[in-house]
Amino acid sequence: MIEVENVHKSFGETQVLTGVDLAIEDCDLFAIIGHSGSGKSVLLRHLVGLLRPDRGTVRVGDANLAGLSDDELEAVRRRFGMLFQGGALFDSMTVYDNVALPLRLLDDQSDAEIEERVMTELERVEIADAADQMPASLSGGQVKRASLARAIVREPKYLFYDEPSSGLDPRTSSVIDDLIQRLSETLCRVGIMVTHDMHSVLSIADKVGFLHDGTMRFVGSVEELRRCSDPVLCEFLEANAYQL
Amino acid sequence: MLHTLRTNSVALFRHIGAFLLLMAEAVRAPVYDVATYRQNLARQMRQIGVESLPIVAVAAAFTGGVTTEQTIYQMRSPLIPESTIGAIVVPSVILEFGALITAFILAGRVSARIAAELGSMRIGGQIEALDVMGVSAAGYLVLPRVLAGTLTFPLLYVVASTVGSAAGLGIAAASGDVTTAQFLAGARSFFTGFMAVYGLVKATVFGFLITAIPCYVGFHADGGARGVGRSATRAAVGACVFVLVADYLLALLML
Repeated sequence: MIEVENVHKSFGETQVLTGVDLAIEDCDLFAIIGHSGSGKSVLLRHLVGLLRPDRGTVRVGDANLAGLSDDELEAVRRRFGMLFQGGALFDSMTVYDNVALPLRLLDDQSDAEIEERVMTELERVEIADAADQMPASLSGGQVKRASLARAIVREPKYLFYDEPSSGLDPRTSSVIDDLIQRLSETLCRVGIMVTHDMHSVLSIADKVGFLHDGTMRFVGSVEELRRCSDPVLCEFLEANAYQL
Repeated sequence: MLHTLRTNSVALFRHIGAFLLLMAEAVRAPVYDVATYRQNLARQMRQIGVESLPIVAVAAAFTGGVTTEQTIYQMRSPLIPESTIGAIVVPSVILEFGALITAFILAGRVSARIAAELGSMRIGGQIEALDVMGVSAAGYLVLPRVLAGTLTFPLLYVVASTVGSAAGLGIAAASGDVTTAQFLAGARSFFTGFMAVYGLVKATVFGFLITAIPCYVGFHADGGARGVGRSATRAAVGACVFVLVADYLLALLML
């Protein structure tokens, strides 16, 4: 479970988060939506410990991230997997080596065990045939899949997705959505997705949080989102041109 | 004026503090996987050492040659023995030019590359990806580069000093003003073991600076493609400046 309580964050004079509260249950796929610049990515960076709040707590399982030393934070993060917006694959490594990297660095496994794990995940995300390719030769969708394989290869308890469908065509975007949903359902992980793509949210999310003016203005199920009564939220949904 | 000076001083100390913290983190980070580290270190040593060898040798040869020509020009007098040419050229190359020319070449070639590489990784999210995996990016990315520079630079320095001295000897002999025997006699009369030790200490310090500074600059890059370009320039210039400062301090302390 992830709990966020009264998190505040400012950069200079700019207040980005002004008291965010949030609770995400195990096995839930939680989508964070909001306008550009509303602080979605800042919130996500707090959840993975890349940023520390000025005030408030971020609790992942039993650990309060804000109170951990760097070594303790590193240990907690080993239960994290993250799909980055641009993939964040290492250009100098093949897809296989990118996916194998966390296993090689963090787990005491033989080469055969690593190969088995890596190929299993590459097959799960359906790019096993691109294992020997360099990231530069992959399409946008393949980069996302490879990054997803790297995120899940150590079977993390918490999965974070930063704009998983950005820059992808609708078909590829839908394939990535299916993968994320399957991972959430079959592996029962806590999934947190920051996205602009309302189609993805409505298709795969269990719960949705709408971040506005630095606070969570709405938290509820997809059905509750569809029955929107808050004018600000309704305006946001209408601006995204989706029929509810 | 006073305000600008104070602001710049504070910024400099902040950078020095952050630099030292990054180095400390790189050193104390666990070695997650020895084989991966060995591969990274070998790759960096090849890029810094082997791939820089031709340009370092060429630069050293020209520096040795020019130093010899200028020394012959300045010492052309019946009152000065011919062996003085060797006595000036070889110690100059060993004490100063061998390390300094190598450092300047590597600042342009290696420092800029390291800063651009790490800057791209910062902006492309790879450094954050390592952080989120629970891997110390400083330990994984910075340590092999700094270690490779610190270990490889002294070897390049030995090559540069040897090639520079040999080129000086060749030019001296070709000029007809000094014989090979006179040049070597002069070089031998002034050469001491301390010169080699001093040169190697200097090379080790320079090797650290030309890799550690760009690691710091690249690690903190921001601002997209322009930021990467800016960090490459800053790293090359910064490495040159700090090499000169270190050069002076080492001369002050050791000579």
